[in-house]
Amino acid sequence: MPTELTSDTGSHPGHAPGDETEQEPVTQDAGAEAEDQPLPENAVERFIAEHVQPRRHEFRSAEQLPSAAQLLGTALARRRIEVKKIVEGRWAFYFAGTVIGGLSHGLTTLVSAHARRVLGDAEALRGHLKLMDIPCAEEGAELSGLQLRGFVVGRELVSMLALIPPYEYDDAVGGPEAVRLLDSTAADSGAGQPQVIAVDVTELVSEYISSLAVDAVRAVPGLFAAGVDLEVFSLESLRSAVVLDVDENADLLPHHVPTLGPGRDVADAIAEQILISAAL
Amino acid sequence: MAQTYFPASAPPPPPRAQRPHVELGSEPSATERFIAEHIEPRHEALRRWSSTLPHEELLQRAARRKKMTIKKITDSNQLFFLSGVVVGGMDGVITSLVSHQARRVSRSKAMTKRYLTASDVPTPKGKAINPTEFSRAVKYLKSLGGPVTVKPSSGRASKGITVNVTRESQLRQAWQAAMAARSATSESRYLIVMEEYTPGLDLRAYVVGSTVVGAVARLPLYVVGDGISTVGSLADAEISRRGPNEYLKGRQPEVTNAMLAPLELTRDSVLPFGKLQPLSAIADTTRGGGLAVDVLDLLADELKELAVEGLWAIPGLGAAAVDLLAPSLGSAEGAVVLDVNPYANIMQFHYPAYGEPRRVNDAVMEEILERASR
Ligand SMILES: Nc1ncnc2c1ncn2[C@@H]1O[C@H](COP(=O)(O)OP(=O)(O)OP(=O)(O)O)[C@@H](O)[C@H]1O
Ligand SMILES: [Mg+2]
Repeated sequence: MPTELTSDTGSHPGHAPGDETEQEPVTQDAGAEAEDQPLPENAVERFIAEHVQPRRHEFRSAEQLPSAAQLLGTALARRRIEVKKIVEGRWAFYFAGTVIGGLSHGLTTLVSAHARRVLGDAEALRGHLKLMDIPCAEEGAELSGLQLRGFVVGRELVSMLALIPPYEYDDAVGGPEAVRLLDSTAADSGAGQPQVIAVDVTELVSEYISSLAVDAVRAVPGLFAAGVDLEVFSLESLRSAVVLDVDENADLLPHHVPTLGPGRDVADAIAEQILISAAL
Repeated sequence: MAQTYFPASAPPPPPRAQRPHVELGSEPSATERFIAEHIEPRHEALRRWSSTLPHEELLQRAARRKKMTIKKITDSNQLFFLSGVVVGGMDGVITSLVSHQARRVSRSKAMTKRYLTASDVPTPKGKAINPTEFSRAVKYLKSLGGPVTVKPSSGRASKGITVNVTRESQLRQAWQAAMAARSATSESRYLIVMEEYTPGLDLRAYVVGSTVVGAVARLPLYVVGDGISTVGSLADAEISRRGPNEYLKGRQPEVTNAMLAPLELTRDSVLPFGKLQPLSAIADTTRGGGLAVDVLDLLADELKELAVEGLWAIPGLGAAAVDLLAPSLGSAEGAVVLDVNPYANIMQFHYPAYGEPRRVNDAVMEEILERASR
């Protein structure tokens, strides 16, 4: 169980990077056993039955949400980093009188010009991922597993969300079979459910999956903060897992306030990384 | 039996006429003083680079020296690996030490000025003006109350720059030159920068992290009169003297009457003995016959600090050329930062016309590694 795994070793992927080596090799069973069994077709339904439906009452209701800029502003202010507007849409971050970073057109200085160029072209990104032997989705491939959206800062996965569509659940049946996925674009989608349900699975995903997310971001030169989309078939195994996208422009908000789960302070990690990168 | 390695018939070198000693006028410019003090005394020491590596190859070589592997995804997209990890890369001529924000800033001189000003880095007072608003430019010229420089905000390689503009008629000409030279691909294509004319020695420092790792003075093509020879023949002689220098060889202009016209000279003009005559208003080292002279050891610490401040004013910029104009090499008094340019070619620092080559490439690669380890 992934939850046991994290508490056993005390190595939340986002907090103890030094612990990977002591980790029990999960792929042993996740990888090997998987080879001779058919790939589960109902990854999303199983995930819902196991992790979402039991906590259905904990869904965060639509509330007054902060903007990504506010989140970042708060995190910077906490570190006594001063934000100075240069012109509309462009900011410089000062720490003790020195520029340590900035924000321009929604991107922080944790994104290099080179990275931006690579990420502007899906083919180029695939080239980079393949070069690093990172499995990635072929162009136009249809999604059949569970979609995860991570946020990587520096060398760490700070947040991981599972994104699922609205669904109906038949209590009389129970289990994955009770789940009926709804079309998220349909107007009559599940009563009171958001179009996309974002579930915080940061502590549920195995080290292997979080490493995949981190590796995908690190395959792009000069990229120190980015969102990464994955497709997986379970939260433990890398079997058939692929990287769908790396997004330097990813929204922080869902990570801070997911539909379900505590949420992670990505803005805080970004502010910290900006300080680290400045190496004052 | 005598063996002759060199043909015995080779003529002895022609007796060289003594090069005239430069006579500086009563108010020499910083550039003229620099030439008289630092170049003319070692005029014969012009370096001969017999082979040169272009910018990208200099960086690749440094990467290999650091045991990195280079993978080319496309011609313009390269990756540097160390122990199987991507430590950095190159997008065209710029490395991954350049943030997206920094690249955008550096495409516009007007924007660079804003960032410099926000960090209190001295830079000529100026304004970006829409080309259609010539009347505003005239007003601004009057309000500045002194000579100005006019240049396209998106300009590169000294194109379309007019210095020392004082009158409206000159401004009109400068305006047209700036419009003609603006780069069509830039986001700030419609802006013309007008700023105070701040004459000084044209310095280009290469800053990596918080260190100046190379510095050159950029000098315009110049000749020294001997009272007999024409400007044309002096210029041709100077240019042919550069032939054995692989770096300079392909970068020389043809000195024509058109080029000399703004100086009110022709190829047939004869200069007085000892007269130092620049052949262009600004140092154009790209194709205008300008020279880059290593001054790293001559540069005052204060000027190095100023260059570092210039780099640091641009968010997320780990390495770039910082252009300064300084009245003297010995102090930062009156010096300004003109430009911060991550696109600058590092060859100038490796193949200076005079002085020592500086390994900017090694410093850049070290910084890339250092950053990857943070
Ligand atoms: N305000 C100024 N006062 C005096 N001289 C100036 C001024 N602005 C520019 N110049 C002269 O013009 C030269 C080129 O200016 P600038 O760096 O702004 O243009 P550029 O197109 O970026 O050229 P380069 O690529 O060579 O740096 C300077 O090196 C300097 O000699
Ligand atoms: Mg410049």
